[in-house]
Amino acid sequence: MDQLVEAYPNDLQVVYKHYPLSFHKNAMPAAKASVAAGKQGKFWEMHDKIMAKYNGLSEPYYIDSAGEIGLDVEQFKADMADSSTQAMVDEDTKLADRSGVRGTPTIFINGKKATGQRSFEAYKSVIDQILKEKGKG
Amino acid sequence: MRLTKTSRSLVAGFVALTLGACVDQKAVDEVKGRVDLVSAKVGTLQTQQQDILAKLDSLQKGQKDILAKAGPAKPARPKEDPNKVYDLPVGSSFPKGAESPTVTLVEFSDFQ
Repeated sequence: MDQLVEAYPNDLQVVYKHYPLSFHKNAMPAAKASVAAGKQGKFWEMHDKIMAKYNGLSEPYYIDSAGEIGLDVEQFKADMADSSTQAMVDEDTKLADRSGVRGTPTIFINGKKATGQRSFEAYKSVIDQILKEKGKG
Repeated sequence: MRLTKTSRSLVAGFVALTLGACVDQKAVDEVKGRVDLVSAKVGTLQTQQQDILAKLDSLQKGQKDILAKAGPAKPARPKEDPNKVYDLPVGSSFPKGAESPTVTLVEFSDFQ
């Protein structure tokens, strides 16, 4: 995704929506940690921290990471426990359910489900096609 | 000479019959024994078959009960239109990249 954002700095926006699967016990806390970081403007920094250690996630790791990316750690802890953080995750999950999402990751490009290969090249060709159609290619 | 021949034949026939009867009785007893054995085995098989049929009946009944509890079969999920465009507002999410984008990529994912 980073590669795509870098490739289309003026045309592409990437939005991450939460769809924590119930049988992944660390998925919900991780989602809340990223939202809590987002409340301090560092969603993607926490996102990258979590992705880097998706196999060994734990509460102390989120707190350490919060410190490393320069968050107010006490505020971060409070936000992680806040019900509005959970509500933001739930909002995404409801949107997913309404949009035919059945598993993760599910990618939509301009609202249309991307069903092909999950690769930089595959997304690039879809994006190029849209830009061409819109006269920006 | 003729008479003698006839009576000799009669005697021979009688002896043969008697001997035959003796042999037959033995064979008959043996066959009877075997028939009894087979009958007993068939009887056992019949009992076992009845048991099997009874079990099949109960299985069939169980299956009916399960199907009755499950209710009518769920209709198949309607096939999704691959060209459908969903409205996916940014909402409270944290986007990155272009501020007024031509293309928006939305990823639904979980961190595990």
